[in-house]
Amino acid sequence: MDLSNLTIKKFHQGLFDKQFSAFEITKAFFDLVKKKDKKIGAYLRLNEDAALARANIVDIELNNGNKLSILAGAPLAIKDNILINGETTTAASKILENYKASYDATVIKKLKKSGAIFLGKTNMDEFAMGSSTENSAFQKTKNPRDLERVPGGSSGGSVAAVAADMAMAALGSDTGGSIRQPANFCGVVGLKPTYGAVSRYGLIAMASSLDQIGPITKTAEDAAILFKEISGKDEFDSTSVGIEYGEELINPNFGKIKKLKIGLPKEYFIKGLNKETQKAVQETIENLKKSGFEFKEISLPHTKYALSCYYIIMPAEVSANLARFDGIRYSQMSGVRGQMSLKDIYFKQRGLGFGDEVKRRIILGTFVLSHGYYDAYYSKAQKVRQLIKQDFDKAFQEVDVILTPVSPTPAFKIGEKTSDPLQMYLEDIFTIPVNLAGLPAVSIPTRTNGLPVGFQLIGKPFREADILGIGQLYEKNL
Amino acid sequence: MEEIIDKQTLEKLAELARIEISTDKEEKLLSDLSAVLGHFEELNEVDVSGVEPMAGAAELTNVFRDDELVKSETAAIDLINAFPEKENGFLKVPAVFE
Repeated sequence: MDLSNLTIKKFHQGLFDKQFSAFEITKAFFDLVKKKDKKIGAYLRLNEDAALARANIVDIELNNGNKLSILAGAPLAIKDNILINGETTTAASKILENYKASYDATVIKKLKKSGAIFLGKTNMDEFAMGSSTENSAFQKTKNPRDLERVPGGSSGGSVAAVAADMAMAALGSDTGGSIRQPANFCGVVGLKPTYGAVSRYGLIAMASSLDQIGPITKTAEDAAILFKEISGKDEFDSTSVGIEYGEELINPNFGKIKKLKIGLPKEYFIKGLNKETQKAVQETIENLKKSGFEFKEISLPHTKYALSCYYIIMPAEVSANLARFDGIRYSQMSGVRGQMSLKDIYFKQRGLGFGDEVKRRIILGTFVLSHGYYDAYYSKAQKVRQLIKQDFDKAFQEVDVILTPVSPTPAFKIGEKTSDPLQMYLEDIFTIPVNLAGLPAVSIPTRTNGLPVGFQLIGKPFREADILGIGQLYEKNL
Repeated sequence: MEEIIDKQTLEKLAELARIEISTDKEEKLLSDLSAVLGHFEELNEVDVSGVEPMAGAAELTNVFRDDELVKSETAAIDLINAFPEKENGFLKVPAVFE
């Protein structure tokens, strides 16, 4: 069974045409994972028994002539910061090594209802903090396209699983680029939905005003299918919004799509941009022009300040969100308890349980929120965030969609940026503004011979249909 | 450049955040933090007068739901089992007062 071209769409068709059963395909994925994942390290844990049992149920329902969702039987990989009831969920941190989730995240609940299959939980940077998946407390994930390079991060495991055909699609989370940047590095599609489009209930929170769960897939069409399934209002996440995504999301009217005006922000086409990246993005623009798209140069003047703004707001929220991991609830590091005082338990558990990057961000967040610095840093950053959002609001009066590179370079070598956090942070300069403004954005791979390079399409709030529609058109034309 | 965080401030922050930082890691942490805080200086160029702070990405106000009793889908036993230390169905925690 060749799994490399099997999209959700083709799988669904094949299932109905009895070309294969859900059980056979699920089994084939596990066989491939066992063969390939020793080298790549995408998965932290597999759940073969439960997955095969669920696949069996899908086959029985199909044989009984029951109506099935388009995701029924689709084998998916899930990032290890998303809760599946009864399953170990660690966010790739030692402090959660023994934590078993006691409920399903809303996205998981929805996918279970659709009959989707969960192959296993994937590796990530600890608590989603990183851009290379080198910050996992458990293992390093390698880029399936070049094993000496990083897959990007923080959703590196989910992305590597899809890129190496070890999952049909996957879920990741994106706080500053954690879906789009690895998708860019590994040559797959990654969507960061509009803030509020997908419930965050059951996602281990990193920075709550920025986090979104989103799909990682082989095609823009699959991204639309998976996104439609997981989106929606949820009473357990008060920031979620009930938007009815119509038929256009999955089956776009290409005549209408071609009329969308695309903006090119001059601040994103900087001197430091890698040559290959520049070339691939330029070719994409030419390609889309041939399809009839109109382009316009625009300006997002506060782009340059997005990184500083993000690295104040995000750690501030991190320092609050991660206060709950105290070594008393959820999970406990062994050997640290004895006759210690409560305070000493906190210090030891958190000191041993968190990795260096997590500690760095908690300390930084504590600093920017502390008395005497709050106005100079946190309050200032919130105002700059407003200006960054207003830049986009203004731009979207002139254009419908914005096209940019995803990251300044293609995948870098393992170990290349681990010693200098600031260099690592700079990886996300083109993806961060989208999270600050709460917009939807997708990373779509171009066809290059060398390392994968993608381009980013940013849409108006809740207009995922626009960016995925252009993505589908682009894929069709190749 | 003036040091924004010195060793003493770092120790105070670690105390507030309840994180033990080993002495051999302090120096690297200090230099990393100084580099990042140094980068933030660029924000001084931005004129934010009259700009409202943006607290979140959701443009929602007053999200309410009915205050009614619903049956939890999570069994009490699952919640207890998800807790590291327990005894006879009770959660076990260290003494708060000493």
